[in-house]
Amino acid sequence: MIDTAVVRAAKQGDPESFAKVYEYFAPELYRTALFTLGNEADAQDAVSETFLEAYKGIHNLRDEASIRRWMLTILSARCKRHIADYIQQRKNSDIDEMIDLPAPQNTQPNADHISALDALGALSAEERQIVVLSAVMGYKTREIAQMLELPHGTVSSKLYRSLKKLKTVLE
Amino acid sequence: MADWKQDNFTQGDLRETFTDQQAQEEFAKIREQLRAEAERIEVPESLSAERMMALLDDVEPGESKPVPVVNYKREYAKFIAYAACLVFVIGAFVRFVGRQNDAFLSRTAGASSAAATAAGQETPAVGAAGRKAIETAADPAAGPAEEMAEEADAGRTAQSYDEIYAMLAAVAEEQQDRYGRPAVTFAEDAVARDDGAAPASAAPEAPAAVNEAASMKTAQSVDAGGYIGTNTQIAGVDEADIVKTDGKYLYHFRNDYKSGNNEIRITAADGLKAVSTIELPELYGAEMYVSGDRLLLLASAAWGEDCLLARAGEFLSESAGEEGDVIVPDWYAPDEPRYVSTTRLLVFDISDRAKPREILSFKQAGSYVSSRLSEGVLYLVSDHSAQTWYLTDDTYAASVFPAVCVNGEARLLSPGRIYLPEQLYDQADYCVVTAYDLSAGKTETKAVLGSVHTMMMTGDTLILAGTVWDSDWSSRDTGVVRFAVGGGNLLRYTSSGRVPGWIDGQFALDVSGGLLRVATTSYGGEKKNETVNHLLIYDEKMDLVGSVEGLAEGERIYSVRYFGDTAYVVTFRETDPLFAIDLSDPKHPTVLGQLKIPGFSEYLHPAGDGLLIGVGQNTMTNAYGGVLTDGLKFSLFDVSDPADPKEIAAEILGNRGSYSEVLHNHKAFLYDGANQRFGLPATICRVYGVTADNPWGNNSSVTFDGYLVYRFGRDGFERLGALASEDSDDPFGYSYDHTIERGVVIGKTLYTAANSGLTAWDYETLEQTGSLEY
Repeated sequence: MIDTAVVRAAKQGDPESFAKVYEYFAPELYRTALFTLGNEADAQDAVSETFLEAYKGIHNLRDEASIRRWMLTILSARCKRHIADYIQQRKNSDIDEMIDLPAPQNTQPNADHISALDALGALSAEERQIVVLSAVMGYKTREIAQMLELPHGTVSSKLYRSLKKLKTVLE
Repeated sequence: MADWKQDNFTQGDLRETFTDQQAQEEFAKIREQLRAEAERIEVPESLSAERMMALLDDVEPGESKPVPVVNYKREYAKFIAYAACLVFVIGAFVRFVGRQNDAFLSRTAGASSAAATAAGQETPAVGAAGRKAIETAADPAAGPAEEMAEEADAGRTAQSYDEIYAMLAAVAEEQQDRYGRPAVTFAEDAVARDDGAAPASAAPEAPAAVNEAASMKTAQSVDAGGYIGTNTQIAGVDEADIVKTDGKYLYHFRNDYKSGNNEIRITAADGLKAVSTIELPELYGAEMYVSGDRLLLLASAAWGEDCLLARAGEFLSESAGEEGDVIVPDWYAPDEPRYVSTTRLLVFDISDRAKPREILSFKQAGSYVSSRLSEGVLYLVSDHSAQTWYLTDDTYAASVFPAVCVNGEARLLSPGRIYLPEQLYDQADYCVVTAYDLSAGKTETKAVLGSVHTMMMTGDTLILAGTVWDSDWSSRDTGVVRFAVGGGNLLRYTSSGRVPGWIDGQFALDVSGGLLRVATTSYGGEKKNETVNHLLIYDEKMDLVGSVEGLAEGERIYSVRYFGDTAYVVTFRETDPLFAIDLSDPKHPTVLGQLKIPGFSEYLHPAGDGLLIGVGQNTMTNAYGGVLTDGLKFSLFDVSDPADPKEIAAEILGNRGSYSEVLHNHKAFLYDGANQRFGLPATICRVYGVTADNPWGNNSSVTFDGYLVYRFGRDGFERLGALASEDSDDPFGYSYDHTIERGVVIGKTLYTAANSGLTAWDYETLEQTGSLEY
């Protein structure tokens, strides 16, 4: 866990400390974005947007210990916007969780078996966000509900359905 | 009484219990696979810290920073002011930089004294200077339906959109100084075509519905109707919740686990008979009120739905400015202007419970903060972030100014409804407040330039609190705005002010005899980086009357409760001092007594007879000196002698991971003073893997999930019932569908509500007597 003193210094405006904070979280941010959006270019955009939003808003951070969740919340919001772009491109005005999104590019080509990343393509973007935050990042559904601004019940029911889908795809 | 093994509540070692071993293993496999793949993914060079930080330098070395020049053309397309809306824009306390903007501001702000202030002088001290009564009559867009006969407001409102826009620009400019980000620039002749006044097309009044007088009785605790409803901070002021009752019916906002849809279920309490279902669109953070024959639902609208609201006022400008003047890194896409966070109010006529009928759909800009219902008026508060830092032709006006939408018609709030308080801060957020009169069926909206995160309301005063920062980030303070409500005042702006430090939620605020009492935490004890705590008292004009400061250095506030003239404050770092503070002389509040005990209370509830119940966590210290939670804890404090508070009983359940929603949401707490009982949902966990070398164990697993009912008294706590949530039939064990979230008492029956359905229990014996699965 990153030292809260560094986070506090970043909150107070020290650029070097902020750079350290970003560096610490960059891998998680990128992986989450990549798993959610399914392609590298958009994942990079989402992360750099998150960087800027975080820089702009870190002085608003209430509690240094929640920096990780705070950054992932911003990232989730940026991912949502990219998803909206996909939909706009399809001239589809409904944000339907079942919509077909660009197939993920597997950055680790492996002919032997379907990678979990590919399997995520079977899910909607929102489901991916939930699965990644839960299974990869280890957040409880309660926390995910707060981060994505969804009802708790929605999060757990989507998680449940997503895991079932993944199980089927990976079999 | 439910036969629940004592074992599940004690602390200590326990073998794991899985619902389905095999399924858990399979899920764990998927999780491992995802994690392993994730770990192999490297961060690309383009996202390295060096590259990211470099993006913040917009200036070539050697050049001075660009001076924001007012040269961005801007025209306002149609702005239709909403006639029946009073929009208070509670000023996002915008700090005027004032250096380069003088010319622009004095030209556009008009001849009022407000312009003089706006032209970059130092902010005048809070006081009479600069204050004007709101001239609702002068607003060209005001329809006849306006007047709620109120006393004149004490606040200063905007003269034009230009004035507000300029303030926002000043914020952006300041942010550029701070963050090295691009400035917003304006056209020199940016005066709106119609001089900022809204065009004369006065909008028709909101077609609100039926004017049946509705009974305004709201339930607080066991009353003549014999039921216990939502636990509220202030008696007589109702707060929204996911479960409501009127003594005959149960109303439950829930999410259907299988379809994923949101709905409200109405059930007759007697016999648990399903009556009707209201289907709802996608909403977040929804909660309800039931008052007489009206059901009110409040929520944040799904973000995809917000386009309609964004249409209000269309685009900010038709012609493009010189894009070269706006310096933006080319890879950065502007904030999506199409989406404006909105808060939604749906009102249903439920005079026929079997056929609820929607009578009003209202939206206001901003994400939902909170609401209250008092004397037949709903107060709805949202926080709307104004987009300030990459304004283009495509920016919707509603991204910059607040808007409302009534039954599908969207309108911007007129400048005359936007309040710009004396003290200026540095955020470009609006606090938007709507008062909805249930019997008249009308809404009135005001906005104030300033951010808001907490709402507290008594019968006559509405307090909004938001975060404010010092220019050098040396202190995080709280901006407070006061309104008079109730008793002939619908929503009358009174004053605003700045309070040092930050607050721990609505319970940190209290109003008594017109005085605002607030408990805050701030940095700056003897050791600079330590936190320190205060209790401050302000009058109606937000002038400081008295305070006690510098308490509990190194700790921060975890809970507060005001009880008459005494404040109980819980601070924590490693141990939990409970402070009792005497407020009877507002000029000299004094600490009466302190109590240090392990653990901390997150929620305090007065329990009569000099007793205070605390709900919180027990704690333990690990080998590294870190403090870990170690179980859910109930404390009973005897505060009959406030100079010597004592903990006379404590009950600790489970270990780390044990939790109750009450820890962060007081509405989940059920208090029955008459029977000396309380109830709350709880999840109890126990750690396993405890050994001599590893006394704090490894992972924890759930041993109980459900609703606890306790009796309290001077002899301590007694657990009367542990009502377990239904077992999940989900092999992954991840279903929260059956988790009990609320309890409600009607007559002799306790009803517990889970997302999947309701259960009835005999309130005496706590035996199950019925259930309804949705």
